[in-house]
Amino acid sequence: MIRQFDYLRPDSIDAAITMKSRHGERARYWAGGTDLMLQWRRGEVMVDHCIDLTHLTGLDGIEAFPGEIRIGAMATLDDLDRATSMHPVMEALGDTARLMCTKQTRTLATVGGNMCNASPGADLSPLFVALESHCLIQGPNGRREVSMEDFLTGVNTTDLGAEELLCTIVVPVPQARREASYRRVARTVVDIALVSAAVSLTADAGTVTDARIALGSVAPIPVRVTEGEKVLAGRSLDDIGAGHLEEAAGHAATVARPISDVRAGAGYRARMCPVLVRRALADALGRLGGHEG
Amino acid sequence: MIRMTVNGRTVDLDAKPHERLCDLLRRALGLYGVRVSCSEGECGSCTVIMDDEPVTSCLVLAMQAEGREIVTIEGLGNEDNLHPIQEAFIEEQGFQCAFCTPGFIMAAKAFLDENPDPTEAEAAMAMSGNICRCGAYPYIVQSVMNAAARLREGGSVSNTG
Amino acid sequence: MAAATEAAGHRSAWRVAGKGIPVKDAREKVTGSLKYAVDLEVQGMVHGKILRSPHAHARIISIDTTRAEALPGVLGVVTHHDTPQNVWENAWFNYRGKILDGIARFHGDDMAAVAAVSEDVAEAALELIDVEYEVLDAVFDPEAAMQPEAPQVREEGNLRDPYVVKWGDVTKGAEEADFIVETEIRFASQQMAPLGRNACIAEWNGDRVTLWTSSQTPSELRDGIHEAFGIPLSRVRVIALPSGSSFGNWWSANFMLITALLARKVRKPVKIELSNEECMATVKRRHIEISRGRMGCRNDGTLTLAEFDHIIDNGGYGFKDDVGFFCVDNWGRAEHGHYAIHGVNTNLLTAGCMRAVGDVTLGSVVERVADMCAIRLGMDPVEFRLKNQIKPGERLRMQHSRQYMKGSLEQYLEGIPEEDRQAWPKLFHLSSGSTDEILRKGAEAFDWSSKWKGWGVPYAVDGPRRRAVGVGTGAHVCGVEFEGNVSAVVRINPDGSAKVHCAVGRQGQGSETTQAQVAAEELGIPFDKVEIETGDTDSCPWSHGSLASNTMYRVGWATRAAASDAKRQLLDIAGREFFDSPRHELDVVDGVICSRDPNKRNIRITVEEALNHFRGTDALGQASSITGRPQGPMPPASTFARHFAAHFADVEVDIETGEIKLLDFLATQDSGTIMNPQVMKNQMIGGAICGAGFAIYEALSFDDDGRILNANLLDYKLLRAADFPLRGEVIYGDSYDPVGPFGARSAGEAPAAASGPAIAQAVYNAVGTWVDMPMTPENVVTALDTLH
Repeated sequence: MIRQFDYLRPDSIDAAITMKSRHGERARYWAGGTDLMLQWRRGEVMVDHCIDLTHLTGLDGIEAFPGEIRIGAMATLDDLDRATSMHPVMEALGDTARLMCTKQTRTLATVGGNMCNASPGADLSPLFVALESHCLIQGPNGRREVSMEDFLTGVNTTDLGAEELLCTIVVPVPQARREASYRRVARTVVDIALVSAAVSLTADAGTVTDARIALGSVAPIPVRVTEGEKVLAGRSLDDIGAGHLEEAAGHAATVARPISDVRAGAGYRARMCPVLVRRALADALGRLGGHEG
Repeated sequence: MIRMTVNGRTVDLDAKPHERLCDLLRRALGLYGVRVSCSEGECGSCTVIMDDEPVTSCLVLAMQAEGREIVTIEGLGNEDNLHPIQEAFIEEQGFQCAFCTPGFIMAAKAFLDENPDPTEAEAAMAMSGNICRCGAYPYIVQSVMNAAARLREGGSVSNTG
Repeated sequence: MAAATEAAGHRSAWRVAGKGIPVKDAREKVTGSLKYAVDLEVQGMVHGKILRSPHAHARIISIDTTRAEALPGVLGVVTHHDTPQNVWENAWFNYRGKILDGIARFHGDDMAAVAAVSEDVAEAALELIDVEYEVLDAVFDPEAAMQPEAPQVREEGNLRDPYVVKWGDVTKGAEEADFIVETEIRFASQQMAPLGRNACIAEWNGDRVTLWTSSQTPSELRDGIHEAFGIPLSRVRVIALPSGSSFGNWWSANFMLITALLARKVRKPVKIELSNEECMATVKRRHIEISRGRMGCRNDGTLTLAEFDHIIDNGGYGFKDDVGFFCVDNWGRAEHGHYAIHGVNTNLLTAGCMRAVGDVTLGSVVERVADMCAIRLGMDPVEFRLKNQIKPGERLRMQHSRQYMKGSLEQYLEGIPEEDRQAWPKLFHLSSGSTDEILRKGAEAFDWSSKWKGWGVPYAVDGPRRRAVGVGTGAHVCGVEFEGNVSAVVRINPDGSAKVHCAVGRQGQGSETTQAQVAAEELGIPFDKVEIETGDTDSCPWSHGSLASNTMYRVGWATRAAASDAKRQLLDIAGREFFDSPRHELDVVDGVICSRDPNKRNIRITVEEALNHFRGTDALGQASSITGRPQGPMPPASTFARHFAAHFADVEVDIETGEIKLLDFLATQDSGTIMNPQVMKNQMIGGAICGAGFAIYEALSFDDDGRILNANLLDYKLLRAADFPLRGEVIYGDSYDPVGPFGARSAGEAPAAASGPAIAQAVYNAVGTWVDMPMTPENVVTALDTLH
């Protein structure tokens, strides 16, 4: 079969949603297209209508609001890299964006596209989960919010309805100090993560008020290490020792459900979870001024 | 028909809805310096500059480039009038088979526009968006450093050794 | 041979040889105007696509092309029913088979092809070909394929006769040893991952065919077309274009022959352009190799025994029984040796020669076992190599050439004219070069003595990170003569310019430049007046092409010999017409003929004047151009010439994650005279990176049905700029080869063999255990488990 599609260019979010409603399942929103182009060319995804979002305005900003940073779904990974000075958590996001792919792909790939592609190996999703981010979604029936943890539902699947569009990713930035870190094992300097861990630690008056740990590439969706989080939450920064990091990290091994594939074996992935969690915790703790950083 | 600017000239092109930018540039404009190898955004051979940013043109729909400004290797310099980056690549011999070279040079152009005085490590990271299977990497990085020096000196093309 | 008497000291007088001149096509390369086969179009051409087998082993029971042929835009379909059933062979048994024979021997094998007005239509038509397959039992494991009851991949059977190299008596070698160490290693398959892909255009004019494609071996491809189609060589013209990185991928490939088949069927020029996935999954790869071996050693560090058994999987269409394994020679000082190589077919993608075939794999096993000896002794690995590696004049153990000689060595030599034989190096002995000088120079430049802290001892420890250094060596041949001897033609034109015609590849190794340098230096004509044709088999005499490190040594010899012959003719004319002198009193310098006779110093005749002397004034005079060619055979290079590399690596290993970082790298090389240092440094570092990639990441992954899982650059990991140290420095030995052009030998393969062992040894020194290649993070961590 000759693979081809019709090209549509909406001039507003509403117009995009209307197009999607009209053309149905094989109409696809096309953002940076860096994943979709490959999936379509390989015949993994059927596309009859390409609804190109790249000419839409207003979806590509990264803006600070009181208590949160809003990342437009059409912001590119390169935009993320340029926004690192906005807040320490943005620094972690920017650092991660730089790891993800080549500069030439960062220029094209969008944050929203990366989330909607919902690859188990995605680098940003565990970090967004650790940062307790949520998504703003627009559809034929209006707008709604969903947490990033609930947005990602499986391998290449999300909570989005057939016609809904992911518009914004909201990253909360509390009054208290929050530091995040993302660690991964990869092969060459440009690679998909074989296994990864993201953490965020929030400290108020020298005490950890919130700890979040999420693992990537070890399950269809990012996995929270809630038992590990409990080890640190409520503890004073000065009290946290190597043993606590080790203990928190140890819980990572029990929640990971990795598979073996061409990139790495399940055993190796599981084994790396505690190592990466420990290192990521040490990064964040160090930035917060803890001893074990 | 879509209109875009390619190497400084406005062109109207008959692009197919599903056509990639790299294919359009080769097919409609004969810009064979836009090299296509992996077709998955990994190797960087097809790198062109779109609105001042480097992109792998195998991942861009031609239609997405409507209204944009595209620069390919052919827009940088020609055999009679080389760009300083091209001079630098010759002086440092930053290539072997050179299939990847236009992509590296376009990536270098975008990089040096943004960072005119890089460290070697920064240049190496910037050049890691492209693959040179022949393995000319140390000399590619030297080419970028050499080019940076030439451009800082006002695009001098003299052979500085 | 004049070169044999030349001293290395003459180098200072050279005007072109040894100079780091930018390559001839540099401007084309940096402007993107150089054309590769994928860029080429010819008028009226149509497009072809290949139908590929969905099974690793199957036979076509029926094939119906009716629906495909009915698709608008389709011009024709070829199947095994319209294919001449002649067997064709790629160079050095890298492929042996028919163009199409209705049997699939690997997943993705060529089964049929369609020509259509566009690639899209051709691709759509493939899905309309109805094929019924009888799926056959398949075998993927090389050792399983060696068993008599295994599914047979080929009618000749799976197993080739073992290729054996032996000397001395291994039982004695074992007895003389104070200790023996042994190991077994299984290598994954490396993919050439040829950035740049390839295409072929074929066009028939009457019963003559012309092919345009990117190939390192134009002559061999012409021969293959001749064999497959059963037509005279005179009706085949190959025009080989520059290729992207090849590493042995682009010799002759079956898709090129399918292009010719389709073009004949539809009577139009046809172009087949391979996708990246096709390049990585349907052409060629490095063999999967399994080595078991041992070495015996005395307590003083003298090796007494080298005994290795080595299996190579040829995949579906490879037919090799040996790999060029010149590690055997490099470590050949052991008095007793036995190497056995077993070639075996499997239902995997065809395997064949990839850069430094055999020396990347078996070579690294020999280096490992030798290092294990040094570990037992606590001896510095540089010192151990200096003690046990071959020196000039010593006996070579590889005896390839002996097989191909008529009769005994004595009988062979008797057939050679006395004056030639006198000038030849001693056969089966190393003529020049070794690792000796470069190991010493490299160790000094790398500050080896202060970074080497003993076996298994890192020089720095930082938390989970360990840093250590390693050294590795590699050797390879300088071309082989088994499939025919080389020739070249050098033509001097009436305007004083010259053109070289020699069949070599242009895969980035600068042959178009270095061959022109050889000719220019010999002729005395300025370099920019010497041009070259490397790809057209109608003008270039037969040559093995650019494989087996043949280009500089053997083709370069022929180019120089042809230039020398042309110059002789020129000087004969000039001597007679202008100088009244015999030619040995004359020379050409910068395009001007002059005399050594002090009384004739004032006579200066340009080459142009000499050749134009006959134009117009003497219509019965000699031709207005001169054509030179070698006047005798090149001596058998494989019996005396090798090139050598020694590499030094500094690595950091994270013992928790298994990640390896290359911190520093130094390449050293003994290749005799360096014809062009600008070209050479890239060959050296490029080879090192090819070997380093194989050492750490590169490995094809096959599923249970023999399908390649990572025929893409996303999951077949190639090193990038920031993955390899930026040092870029290369140190050269100062040897001077007695046969090669201006003392030069070959260069490009030993570096690919030396870097892996250097990195593997550095990793050993960092973590205290050996890690098998590829040393992925996972494999490092697994290997570390054996320590606890």
